[in-house]
Amino acid sequence: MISETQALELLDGIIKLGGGDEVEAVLAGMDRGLTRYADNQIHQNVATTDASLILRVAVGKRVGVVTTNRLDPDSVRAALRRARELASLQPENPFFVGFADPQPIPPMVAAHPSTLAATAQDRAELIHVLAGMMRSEGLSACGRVSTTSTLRAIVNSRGVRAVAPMSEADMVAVVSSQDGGTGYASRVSPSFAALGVESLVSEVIETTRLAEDPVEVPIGAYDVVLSPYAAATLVEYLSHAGFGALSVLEGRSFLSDRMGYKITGDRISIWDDARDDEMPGEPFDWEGVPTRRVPLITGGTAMGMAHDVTTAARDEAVSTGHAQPSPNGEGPAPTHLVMAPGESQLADLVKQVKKGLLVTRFHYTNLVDPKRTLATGLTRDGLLIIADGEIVGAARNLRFTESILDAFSRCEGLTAETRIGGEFGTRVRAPGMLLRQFRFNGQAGS
Amino acid sequence: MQALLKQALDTATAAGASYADVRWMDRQSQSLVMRNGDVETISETHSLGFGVRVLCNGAWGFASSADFSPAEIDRIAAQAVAIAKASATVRTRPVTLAPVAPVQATYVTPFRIDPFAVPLAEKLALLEAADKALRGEATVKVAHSLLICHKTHKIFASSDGAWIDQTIVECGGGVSATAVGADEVQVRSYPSSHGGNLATAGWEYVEALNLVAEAPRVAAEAAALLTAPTVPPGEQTVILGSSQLALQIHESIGHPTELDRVLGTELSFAGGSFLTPGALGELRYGSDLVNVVADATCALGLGTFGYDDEGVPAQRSHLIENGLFTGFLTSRETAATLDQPSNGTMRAQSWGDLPLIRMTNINLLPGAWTLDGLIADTADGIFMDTNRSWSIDDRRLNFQFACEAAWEIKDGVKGRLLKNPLYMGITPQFWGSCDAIADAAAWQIWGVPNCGKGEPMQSMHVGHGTSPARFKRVNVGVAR
Repeated sequence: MISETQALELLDGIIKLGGGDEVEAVLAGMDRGLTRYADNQIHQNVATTDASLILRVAVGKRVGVVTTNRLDPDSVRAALRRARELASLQPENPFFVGFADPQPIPPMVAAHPSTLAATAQDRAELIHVLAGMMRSEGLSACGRVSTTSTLRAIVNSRGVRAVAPMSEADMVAVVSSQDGGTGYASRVSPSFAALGVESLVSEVIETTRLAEDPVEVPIGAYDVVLSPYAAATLVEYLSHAGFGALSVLEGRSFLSDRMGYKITGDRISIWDDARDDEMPGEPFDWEGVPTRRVPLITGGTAMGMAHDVTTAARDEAVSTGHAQPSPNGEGPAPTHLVMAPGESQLADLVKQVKKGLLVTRFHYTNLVDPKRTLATGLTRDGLLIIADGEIVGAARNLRFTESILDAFSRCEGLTAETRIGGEFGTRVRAPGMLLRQFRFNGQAGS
Repeated sequence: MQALLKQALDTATAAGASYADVRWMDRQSQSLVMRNGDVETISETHSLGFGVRVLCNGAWGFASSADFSPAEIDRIAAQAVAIAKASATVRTRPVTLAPVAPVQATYVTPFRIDPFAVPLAEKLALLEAADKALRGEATVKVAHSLLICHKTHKIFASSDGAWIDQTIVECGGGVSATAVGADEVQVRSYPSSHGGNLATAGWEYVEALNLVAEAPRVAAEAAALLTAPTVPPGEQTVILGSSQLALQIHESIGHPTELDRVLGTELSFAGGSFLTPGALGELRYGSDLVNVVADATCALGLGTFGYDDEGVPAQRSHLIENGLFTGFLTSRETAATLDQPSNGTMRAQSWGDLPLIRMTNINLLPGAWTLDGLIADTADGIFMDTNRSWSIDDRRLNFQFACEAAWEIKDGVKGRLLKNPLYMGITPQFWGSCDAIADAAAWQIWGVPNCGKGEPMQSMHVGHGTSPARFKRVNVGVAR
């Protein structure tokens, strides 16, 4: 992968070439290894190395964007020229206020040596250990182990100049037993060495055994204990429904005209923090603005949204460091969400349920009505029956259709322990939750 | 180029690979987007690289890079073999491949006007006109119009002697209007949601979309939906428009017939399938009217090409014949488990991704009804179209889809607009309730540009051709 020095030299050179009124040059380097396994065997094993240059050139209030992975001098000059041409062809965009101004970026260590050094053999060894433990239990496991090192560098003509190596490692196990039980567990960390295969295996085996011999349960409203993985999914989709400033400003979000109002239960506090100690982090966003903790919901009250430079100008605010890579039509977005934990253990929450379900995770969740945070999805890999405060069996999967904010308003407990979930570029660290009267409206087919 | 790719294959085989292939890919894209009268973005992207896939000691390895120096080619080829050897340490069943005759071939998407040759000023003028035509309604707060084109030049070479040079051209566009009310948001899109419609075609395809002419209707319907009555819940007769039916096919036929899902290799992420190898020729998937093919040869399809990313020729094969399940989507590895040849569905998103079994064009063959005749024959029902949200379980059985708009059908007449239509079902029961399919005149091919699968996640362009069709006793709900 391209080095920090090489990246800054390349970008400094681009700014010197100038060409438009303003230039922003971002380099995104990546070195990724991912090993997949199914039925306790490795079946896919891949490695990719790439570096992309994202150029924005502004001619007045007109912006052209060119992305290329050709980093030789001729290709870079051609890309710069083309970005300038694209800018010159269009009318002015009144919302463009220029690129970011330089700000001090608090130091942050976002790359871990064990991840940077991890090899295919290292990932295979981890899976070998996991597969051996599964075989000894008579279980079949599938999942992945991945190690990704990235380099983000940004230089613009206003003086922003930043570079940061980052790393992320994760491990997923979906396990099935011959008695129809399935379970899920995952770990995410900046450090490959910290993934902890033994604790993951122990967790997923326990879930799988509890989930054996599932029976059909009727649809309806249940008190549910959500594992942290399931809670993370709901927080993630709440974010998709409207924590980004563009949707708020356009009136499409549940936060639109609701800032400062109570929108969900007292126990619910959610913030975004790309410097959270437990998640793979980012010291600055894709415009070079330093990341920081941004409260979104505090004690059930709407407190904030994710801004980039452009939306912040529209809102007479400042960027919160949530710019996404150009070209981007969705606007700024939180990518490191945290829900405030509580003080309970998961077992404590279970004890508070007379008749209900424990949900390990959700599958194929999607927004039906973002303004009302109405979402649907299915349970998966461990839907457990709770009776009189104890797990007494397992249920076949159900479909839910529920307003996330309404469901959160019926939260009566949170665990102290959190797990990291989230997909598609958004990470969420969430606790387990006790939600009363969560609505299931369908049976997964059999 | 030939020498570089041959070097990769030679290095891989010298390092111990029993099979190797290399894909070189050069992909260019251009997109123009307008939002509420302003240019949101004009952007171009270019990505070039190569990926080496090998079999060694009965296991797969894959490595890729954007650096074409001879030293890097050797490094990547050797890395792929090292990865395969690592894989083999946690593998008890060696990979076997169904055979395919190696070919030397060339394929280029048929097109008339190169979309990259059309002046940007002309494209921008079209977009500006479409955007202006979208902004006639006071409640429409977001007017969004998009034009996009891609050109992918790729070369596949294998240690068996294949050399396949393909150029795939795609373009399309769309408009959408988002109307915002006091406590709701309604959207209408044309030609379809989630990015318009895209085809393997030249600029002539975009010209034929008539975006400017359709835009006022799109905006008017979005506004009207804010005050339209809600679709009544209950068991109903439903006619799905072909855009929505394309997504129905995608989720409830395309994905479950991917043989890798059936064999359990996608369980950790996207899930499995309710189908089993034993279901072939046995399972009743739908009514007698339902005939579905996987067709990588059909005109305009986003899943149309000359050869898949294993060098297997594009072909048309049945998945469902007269309602009976008869075929999977296969690769050389999975087809070998059925002692069949691959039907050519291995596709990779980019040079840096491993090919996976992906849909090509999964098409419902047309029926005998005219669309007008189908509606006239429906005493009491709902016509729904244009997807708004989608969700299906991990075995592809329980689904729930919401559409942008619906229309009441009473006594054979399509009447008032209804909002928030949502329907759910179980896959084989749903397809079993299909009692009428509109004819070839109403058949259209739709492009789905964002089919997600795999780890790392790959987004694939796939196609679905279908006419509208009628389904009985469908559980219609309300998005609360």
